[in-house]
Amino acid sequence: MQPTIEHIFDEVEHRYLPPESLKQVHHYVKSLPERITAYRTLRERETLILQKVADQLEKTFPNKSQDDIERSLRYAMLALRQSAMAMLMDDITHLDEQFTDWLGESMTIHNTQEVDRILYGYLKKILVQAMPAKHFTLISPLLDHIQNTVLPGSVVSAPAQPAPQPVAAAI
Amino acid sequence: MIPIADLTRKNHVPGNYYAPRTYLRGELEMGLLENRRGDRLLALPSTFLEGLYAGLDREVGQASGLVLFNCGLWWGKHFFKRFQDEISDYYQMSLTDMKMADFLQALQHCWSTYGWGKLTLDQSYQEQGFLVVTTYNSFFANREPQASNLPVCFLEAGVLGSFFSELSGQELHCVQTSCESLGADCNRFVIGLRSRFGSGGGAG
Repeated sequence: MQPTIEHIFDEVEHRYLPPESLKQVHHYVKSLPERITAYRTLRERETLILQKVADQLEKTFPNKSQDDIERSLRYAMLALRQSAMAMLMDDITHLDEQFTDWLGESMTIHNTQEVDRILYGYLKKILVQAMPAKHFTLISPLLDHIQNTVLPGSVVSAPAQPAPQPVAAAI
Repeated sequence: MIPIADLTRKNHVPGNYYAPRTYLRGELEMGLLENRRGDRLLALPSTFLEGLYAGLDREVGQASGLVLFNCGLWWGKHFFKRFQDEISDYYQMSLTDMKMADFLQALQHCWSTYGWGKLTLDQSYQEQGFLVVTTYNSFFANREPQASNLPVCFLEAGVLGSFFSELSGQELHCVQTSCESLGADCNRFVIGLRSRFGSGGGAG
């Protein structure tokens, strides 16, 4: 559950919510329709988005085995799903509690970082084309957080928003 | 071309099975604590473990270590069975088909999610026939009520000995060589065939 709302239940018997807390709740509830829409987009387009990433990776790493690239793609798929859930809940702590430790270890164990560093760049470039800017700005900080945690120093500034075009055409 | 749809099995992409928020589930109203498959879990309060140590010490004295070690052997056997079932089911492959690194990672996350501390494995003595397991912040080491000049993680030693016996299909013994209760930075356990330990390999 979203942390701000979760903490509300702890204080019910002591007081009404102060204006600042109520404002946070209002902000979260107001943002929820956009979060749900962005989540739906990711859910429905996951395969298309990652297929595009896969195709680019195969071109970039012709000498890498298919197993290596597939492993990085599975990690990316998990990162995208975990980020989507964290976005829906507006809870970045979800990523550290559930995922980033494990992902960092897995990347080290299987030595996938070389592909992963490039992969995240491709993923964000495709996402920025596949969803409206307001939705991309919801998911992007979460992917950056994962990338910063498991691949320190590899985050570059978000790709510029391209000229508007139909989503279907972009992916 | 890598078909993305083929990378998932019925839309399932295996990740960290033992992620705490997902793995541990409880219903306070029903008094139930379960894992993500619905298998029942049992929470051991530190008071219980301290009481167990103290009670055994009073009842059987010096033999309490041996009793705890044997309890650990029994516990470890069942722990392995559950671990094997859960992991095989989740990753859809048998433990024998799993890569060693993935197996160890799952065991480490299982250990910490159960609240037993942090576990690492050192395989550098493999040629000599030994595996060294190290645990930090052990739940078992910090509950010994009486000062002792010997390692006290008999239960943990039994669990580890039994777990790796089941895994290897050989009867292995486990000896603890350092203990947090004695001021060491970690608990070290050496696991191998009993015959290789010589005369110093007592219980735990």
